[in-house]
Amino acid sequence: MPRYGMVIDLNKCNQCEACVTACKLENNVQIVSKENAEMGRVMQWMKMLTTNHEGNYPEIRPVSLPVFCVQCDDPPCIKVCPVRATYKRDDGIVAQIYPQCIGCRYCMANCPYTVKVFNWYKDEQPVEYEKCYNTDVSVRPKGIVEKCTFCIHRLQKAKEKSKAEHRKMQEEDYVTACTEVCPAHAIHFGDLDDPNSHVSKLMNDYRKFTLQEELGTEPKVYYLSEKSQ
Amino acid sequence: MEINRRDFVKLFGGSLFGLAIGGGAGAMLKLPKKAEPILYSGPRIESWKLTACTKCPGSCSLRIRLIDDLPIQAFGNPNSPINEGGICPLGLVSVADLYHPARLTNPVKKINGEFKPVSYKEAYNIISDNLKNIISNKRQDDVFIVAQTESKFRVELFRKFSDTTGFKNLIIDNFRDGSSFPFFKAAGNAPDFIDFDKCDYILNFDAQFTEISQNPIYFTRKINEYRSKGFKITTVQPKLTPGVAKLDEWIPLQPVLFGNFALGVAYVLLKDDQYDKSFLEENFSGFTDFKNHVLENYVPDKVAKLTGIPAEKIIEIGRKFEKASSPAAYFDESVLYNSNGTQNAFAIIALNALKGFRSFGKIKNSFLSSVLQNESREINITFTNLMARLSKSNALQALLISGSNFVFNSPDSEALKKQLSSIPFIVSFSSFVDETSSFAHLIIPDHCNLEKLDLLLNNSMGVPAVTLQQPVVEPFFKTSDTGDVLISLMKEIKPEAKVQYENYSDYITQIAKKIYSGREGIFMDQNKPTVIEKGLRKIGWQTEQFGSFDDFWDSLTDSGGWWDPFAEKEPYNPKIDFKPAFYKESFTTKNSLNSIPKNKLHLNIFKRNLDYKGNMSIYPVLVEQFGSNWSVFYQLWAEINPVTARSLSLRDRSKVILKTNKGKFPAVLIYNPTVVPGNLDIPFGLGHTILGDTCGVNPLIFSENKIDKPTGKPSFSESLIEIEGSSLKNSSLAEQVKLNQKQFAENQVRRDYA
Repeated sequence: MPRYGMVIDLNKCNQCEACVTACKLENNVQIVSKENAEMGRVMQWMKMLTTNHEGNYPEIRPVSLPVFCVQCDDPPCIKVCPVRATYKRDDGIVAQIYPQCIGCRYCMANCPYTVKVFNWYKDEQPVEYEKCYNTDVSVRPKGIVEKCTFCIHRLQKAKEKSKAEHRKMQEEDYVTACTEVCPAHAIHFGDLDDPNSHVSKLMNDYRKFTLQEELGTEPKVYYLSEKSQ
Repeated sequence: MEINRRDFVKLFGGSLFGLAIGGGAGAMLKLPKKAEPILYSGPRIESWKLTACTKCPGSCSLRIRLIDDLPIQAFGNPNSPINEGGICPLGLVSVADLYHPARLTNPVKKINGEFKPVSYKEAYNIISDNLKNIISNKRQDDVFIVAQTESKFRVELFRKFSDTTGFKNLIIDNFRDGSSFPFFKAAGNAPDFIDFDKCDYILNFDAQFTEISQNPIYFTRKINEYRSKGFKITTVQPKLTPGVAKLDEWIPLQPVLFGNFALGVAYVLLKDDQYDKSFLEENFSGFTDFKNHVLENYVPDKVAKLTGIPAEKIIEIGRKFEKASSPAAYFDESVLYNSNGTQNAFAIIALNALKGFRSFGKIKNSFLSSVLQNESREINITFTNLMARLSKSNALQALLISGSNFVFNSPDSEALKKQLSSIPFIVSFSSFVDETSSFAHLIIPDHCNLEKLDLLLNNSMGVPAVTLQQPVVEPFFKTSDTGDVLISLMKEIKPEAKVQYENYSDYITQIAKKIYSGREGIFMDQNKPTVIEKGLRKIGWQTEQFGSFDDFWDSLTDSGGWWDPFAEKEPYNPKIDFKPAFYKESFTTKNSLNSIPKNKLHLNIFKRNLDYKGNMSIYPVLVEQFGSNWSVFYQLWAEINPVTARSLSLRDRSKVILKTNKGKFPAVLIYNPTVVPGNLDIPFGLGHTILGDTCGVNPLIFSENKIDKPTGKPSFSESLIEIEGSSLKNSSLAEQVKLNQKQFAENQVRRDYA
C-alpha cells in the first residue's frame, strides 16, 4: 500500500500562489462575500503564509511557505471527531466524509496547523461561475468542515484509468493540482514508501523539515530549505 | 465498435435522467444551467484541448479540460518549452472569462446614455461610415487607435490597419513594447532575450522577473537554474516583493533615482578602466562626452548623497559588475512608471553598453521577420500624444480602443473622462464595460480567449517559439474577433490596398504557412534535440520534416505549438547614439527629501503578482486572493515599516484615512518590516468603479498627475501621503530616510565583520 506525501522545495518556490489558486479551483472551494471575508470566514484549503522575517533591514527576508493539511500520520483531528467523519485511509490520506460531518468543529480546534475551514454559508459567487466547477468534486453544503484531501478524486480517476488500461498505476498518474501547476516545479508528490519515487529521494535531502515536528503528529508534507525556518 | 458521444447519450440518457429527476446528481453536483440537459442526462465525457494564454507576454500553452464540450478548467501544457506544464494564477482562471456574468454578449450602441444591443451589421456600418467620413474630410490625423494585446501578429495587424487606412496615430499599450521602447529610442532596435545561460551577474532595476515580466513562468525556472550555478542577482527596487525576496540582494531605492544609481555604478567601471573599449569605440557615438559627464557628476559619494545608498555599496556593485564576464543590467516596462522613467532606462542601457551587452542577444535571421515587417519600427506615438490632443477642444474625431483600460491606469482619470466625453465617436472592442469602454459610443465585443484563433510568438527563450491559440469552443455569443473587424474595415475603406487575407483566421493560416515553408524547427510535443542533433543540424543534416501543410497544421493543433531549438543566436550589438540631451542635466535628480514637510510619507504604489494592467478584479478568485497574505480581503491596505508606524503612533491593522493633495481614502494599515522606512506601500489593482468586483480604492487617482513624458506612463512613486490623525513624534521623513541609511550602514558593518 502506498503512503502518499509531498515535498515542497522552498528554495525554488517564489510564492506566485498558482498552487493556492489551483487548489481553490480544483476543489470548488467557495468564495465568500465581502462581509463574511471581513469576519475572517474566507475559505482556503491552501494558503501562502508568511511566518516571520529573517535578517535585518535591508537584508531582511520574509519566510513564506504554502500551508495546507499536512496529512499527519498521527492526526489529532480524527481523535476528537464525535461522528468519525474524518479518518485516516490506508494510503495515509486523512480524508473527510462530508455527509457525515455535523459541523461541531472539534477537529478544527484540535488541528495544530489551523488548516481546516468551516463552511459558514452557501456559495456566494455569481451563478455563472458554477459552470467552471470541477465536476469531479462535490460542492460541500454549509455547516461542515473541509480541508485539503491531496486531490483524492484524482487518485480515484487514476486507479480507474490504470485498471481500464490493464496496467499498474504509475507515479505520474496521480498528482495533486498544486503539484501539476507549480511553475517552479517546487512541489513534488508521490509515494513516500516507494524507494524509487521522486519524493522518497527528496526526503533524504539535508534541507528537509516538517511543521511543528515537536508535536509528534508526523506530517507527510515535507519542506526543503537552505535556511532554518 | 466505437461509441461516440451522441450514441452514449442515447444509451444511458434515460437511466441517468431518472437519477437526476430523483435529485441524486443534483444534490451532489453543481451543474451549469446551459449544460444541465447534457450533464444530467449523463455522458460527462471528458476531453482536452490545447490553446494558449494571452494574459501576459509569456505565451504559455494551456490544456483546457472540457466536460461534454464545455471548458471547466485550465492547466499548463507539459510539452510546451515555455511553461513545461506550469501555469500562473492568471492562466488558471482563463475559463472564468468565458462565463463571466458581465461579459458583453452582442454589439451595443449608446443611446441616450445607455448601451442598447444592435446587430453586428449595424455596428459595423456605423464604424465604417464614420471612418469613411473622416477620410473624406482628410482628418485621419484626428483619429487615435489604442491597442493592448501581447500577440505580436495581432500587433502587426493593427500596424497594417494603421498604415493601410492612414490612421497613423496607433498606440500599442502592451508590456513587451513598453519594455523595448527605451532600447528603440536609444539604439534603434531591442534585444530579443537575456541569455541566462551566458550571464554571470544581473543587476536588476525594478523588474519582477517571476511576477510581472516578459515571461514569468519561463523566468521562474531559468532564475532557479541560474542561481543554482552560484550566480547572483542584485535587485534595485522600492519594494521587496515576494519574487525579489527570493533573489540574492535587495537595494531599496526610489525609482526616480534609478538613473543616478546606474550611472554611479558606471562611474566605477569607467574609473577602474574596466569596460569594453572596442565595443564602445565601434558602437557608442559620443562616448567620450558620456564618460566625462559620468566621471564628473557621478562620484559614488555624490550618488550616495542623492540616493541614500552608501558609497561603499555602489562601489561594491560596480566591482561585481565589472568583474563579471557577461553581466546584465536588466529592466522592463516597470522602470518607466516614473516621471523620468525613460531617462533612467537610458542610463541602464548605457551601463550595459560599458560591458558590450554581452548577456543580451538576438535571434539570427529568423524567417518570421518577414511576417513581422513592422516590428522593428520605432514607436513614435504614445499616450503623451493622445493626452496632448485630448487637452485641445474638438481635436479628435474618433478613438478606437482594443483591450486597453487606460482610464483606470491614469492618475488624472477625472480630467481624462471629461476629455473622452467630448470625442464625437469612440469605438471599443472590449469584452466588458470597463472604466474606458463606458465612454464608447459603440462596443463590438471581442471573442473570449478560448474562442479565438491566434499564433503567439515568443523570443524570450533565445529561440523562436510559436504557441497556437485555438478556439476551444465555438463563440458562445454574438461577439466578433477584432482582427476580423479590422480586416473587413481595411478592405472596405481602402479596396485598392488589396488586403491578401479574408479574415483573421486566414491571416493566421498564412503565417503558419510561412513557418511551414521555412522547414525549420519542431513541434512542441517532439523531444528536445540533443547536443549531437543540434551539431548535426548545423552541418546540414535534416531529420524528418513536415509533409503537407494540412499535416503540419494538424500536428500544430495536436502539440500546442512549434519552436525552433536549432535557431542561431547572435550578439546584440546596437549602435548607440546618446545625444548630450539624453544624459546631461536630466539624469541628475534633485534630492528634495529634506524639504518634505513633517508627517508626510512617500507613497509607493506597487503591482501585485501578475497584475500587469490592474485588471485582475474581474476574477472573483483572484480578488479574494489579492490581500490574502495579510488577511485583508476586498479592501485596500497600506504597508508601513513598524519603525515608521510606531513613530506615528499607529497600530498594526488599524483602519486609517490616507490623505494626499487630491483627496482622502480609507485603508487598513499593515506592519511590514520589509517596507522602506518613510514609505507607505499601497497595492494597485483594486478600486474599479465599473469593471468586475468594485471593491477597494485605486491609489493612482490620488497620486500626483506625473507621467513619463516619452511614454505617457503614470508615475507610481512620486507622491507624498499623510495618515490622518497621526503625528510624527520625533522625526520627519528626511529623518526616516536617514534612519534607513543608518540601518543600511549598520548592516553593512555587521556583515563585514561576519
